[in-house]
Amino acid sequence: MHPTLKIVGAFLIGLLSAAGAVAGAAAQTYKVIGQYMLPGSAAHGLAVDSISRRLFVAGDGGIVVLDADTGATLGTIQLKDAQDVLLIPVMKGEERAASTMGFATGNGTVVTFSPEGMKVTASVKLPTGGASSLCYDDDAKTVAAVSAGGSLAAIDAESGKVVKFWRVGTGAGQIACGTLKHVYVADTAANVVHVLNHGTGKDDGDYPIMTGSKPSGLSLDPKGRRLFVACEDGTVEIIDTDSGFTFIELKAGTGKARETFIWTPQGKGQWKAASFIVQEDGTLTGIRMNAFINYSIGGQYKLTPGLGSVAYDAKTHRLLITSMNAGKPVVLLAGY
Amino acid sequence: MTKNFSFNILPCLVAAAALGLVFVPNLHAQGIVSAEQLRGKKILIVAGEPKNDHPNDDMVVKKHLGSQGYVVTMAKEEDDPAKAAGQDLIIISSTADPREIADKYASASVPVFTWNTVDYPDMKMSGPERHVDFETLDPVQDYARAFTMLYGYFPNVTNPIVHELGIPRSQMFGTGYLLPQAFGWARPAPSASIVVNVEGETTHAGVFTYEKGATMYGGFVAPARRVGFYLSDATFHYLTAVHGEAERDANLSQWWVSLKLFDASIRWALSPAVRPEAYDPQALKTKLASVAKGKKLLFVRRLNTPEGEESDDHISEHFKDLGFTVTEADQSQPDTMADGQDFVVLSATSSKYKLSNKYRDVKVPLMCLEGLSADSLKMANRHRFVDYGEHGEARESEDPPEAYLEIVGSYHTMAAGLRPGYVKFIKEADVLKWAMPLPSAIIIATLPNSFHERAIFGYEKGAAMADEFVAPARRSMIPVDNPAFDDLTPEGHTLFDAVTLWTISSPPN
Repeated sequence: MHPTLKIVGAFLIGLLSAAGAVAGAAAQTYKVIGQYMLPGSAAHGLAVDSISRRLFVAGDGGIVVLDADTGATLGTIQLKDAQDVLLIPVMKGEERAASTMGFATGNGTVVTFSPEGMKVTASVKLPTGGASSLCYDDDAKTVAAVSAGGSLAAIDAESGKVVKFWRVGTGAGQIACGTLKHVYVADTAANVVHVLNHGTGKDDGDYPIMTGSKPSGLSLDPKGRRLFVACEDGTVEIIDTDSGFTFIELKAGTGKARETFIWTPQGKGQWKAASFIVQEDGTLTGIRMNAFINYSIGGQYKLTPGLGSVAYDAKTHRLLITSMNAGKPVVLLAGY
Repeated sequence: MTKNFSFNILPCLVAAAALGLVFVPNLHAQGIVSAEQLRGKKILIVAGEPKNDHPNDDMVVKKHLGSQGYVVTMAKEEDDPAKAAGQDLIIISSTADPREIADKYASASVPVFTWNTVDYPDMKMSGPERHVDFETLDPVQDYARAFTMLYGYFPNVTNPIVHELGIPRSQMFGTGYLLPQAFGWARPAPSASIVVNVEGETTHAGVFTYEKGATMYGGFVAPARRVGFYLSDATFHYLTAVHGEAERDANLSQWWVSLKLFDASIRWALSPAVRPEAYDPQALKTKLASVAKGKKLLFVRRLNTPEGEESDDHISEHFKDLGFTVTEADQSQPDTMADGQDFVVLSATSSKYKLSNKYRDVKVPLMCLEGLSADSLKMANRHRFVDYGEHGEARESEDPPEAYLEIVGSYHTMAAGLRPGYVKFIKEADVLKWAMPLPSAIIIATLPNSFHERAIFGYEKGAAMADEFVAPARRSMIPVDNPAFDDLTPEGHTLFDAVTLWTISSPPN
């Protein structure tokens, strides 16, 4: 077990806050600038199509589809106890286009749906029930579905058909698809990140959590080499996936965490990239990339307790966060 | 004013042993005790005061060692060294002010593990001059060069620490994680074992050790084991390690190996030191005879030579007396003469020029009496008068004749139990040859006042010699020039026997 230290974070914070003070314009203060009410009693994963301006939110009543600009409800995709939702990205040349296929999971089932028609087009049963999560491997054109109950499914992203199921140790935390068919799974209980392989169904090895405890949030840079692990005790560990080595440790909020990684989240000339972490205690943390090998806390913002999942709207540069407000599920819009 | 520090735990150990409280640990490969067997060992970390504007890893090190079962106590740089009484190991962090601690712990009779590079000279672990004898590298001041420190080199896979890591051959590895970091290296004394070197400089040691009894700088004899490590104030957490899929790739798991290197070095320091046998020529001869009995020895010499013939005859007779079955070969005969032999000895009457590259590859132990053949046998590099040379040869040496050697590796079998310091090797000052072997060699004696001129040394089987040539079996060098065997002092004869004994003995594992 390799030790890391909190002091690194403190050092980098100090160093880079000094750098930030000089940069000045790069500093951004995120705050809640709006919210969309949701039906039902809970909201979990969400995904936004910044081209079609549709927002998809998984909840106990299914996938609620909202207008991303107004919050108006456009429809619902039927899926009981939906936990996660995923849109397959579409590119037309260099430009992003509206997604034409989505996946959602809940109650041991994965469904394929049409984002435009908001209809389920296919459904498959996972070998294990309970909460499950989805991620997309753009290289393999595969959707990986990981069930906290202990299974991994590889689904062809074009046909929506299951390639293969495996029974394998997983975890209840967030998942992220990487390169080389890797699927990273935060195992909150075991205090490790599993590196599953959706080509073989095997666990390629675990990354130990260093000083942190209870990893639940994960995000991965799209190059697949920097894994951001948010732990429930407030520790964020940044792992070099080539070696499984934690090379930076920082401090975020506390409680169950979810993350998303974004390149130039504030547009060109601002942050190079960031991993945004939302946590149960209401903290939004921006882990800022200073260089591919150097990260610091770009900012920490107290929003409202009970933050759930986070997505990024590339058009508005806003973060969309599921949360609760007076016992009702909402989507918070955070911007600067 | 600094105080020297010394205490002796031996009486306590004897008493404990008498009460049955001490167990004799099973030693792992080449004498390193397992982590499990070292649980409960007491470690004192001497460190500076933490500063808000200057983070350090001292508490991380403490936590790491604690997680391995060591009992760790912190001490301040200004503490009386008596605070170390009862400890099994003293660690000196670079955060401790080297001017404050100075030589406080130099005489400690327990092992010292230090990454306080600037304190190496006061610990007698290196010479005194910065940038020459030791160096600290700060990426703020020298960013580009700091990148070179990301890479270390294991020059000697037969070193017990490197052996613990399972490194199969001399090779590079990643010292710290990818960011250029502060770093320290030193040029240790000849008796040190260089575990890691850096910057392509064989003498720039990032990690090095001294066995108890080894001669350190200024003739200071190591009272217990000493380890120098390349860490700096806040770099411990960057020591490389590997997890996940990469663990199963030998190239990666042997590359990101620094944390294991640190742990193995700590365990080496805590493991029992080598205990040399007392100087006893007769006992040594008896022991040698018991090992030599029935062994077939090929003695390669210049037969029918006008010089050294009588001396060679006496060498041959000595070997026969010891129980070897001796076959003599002329320098001109092919090295297939060594087929079926157990041991090859090359006389100094053999001409390097005529001997060519013969016997370099023999798979049995080889002892060479001719220092000038060091390069052709891969015992040294090829730069004459730099990598090898001689004292006292008319017109071939700029150094005067010499009769003495300086024992620097008294802890080792090859030193025959002789004490550190000068020993009269031949009766009258005459030709003595030397070589500058690679860092993987075990150095026993140097020429006096000629720090880099190593007179008696050996390579363990498997050690990397010059040009990465891997020693097929043990190799040794002892400077017994043409007629010198008859001129050896009693101590010289004993050294001859001791080197012979080590060379023909079985390597560990």
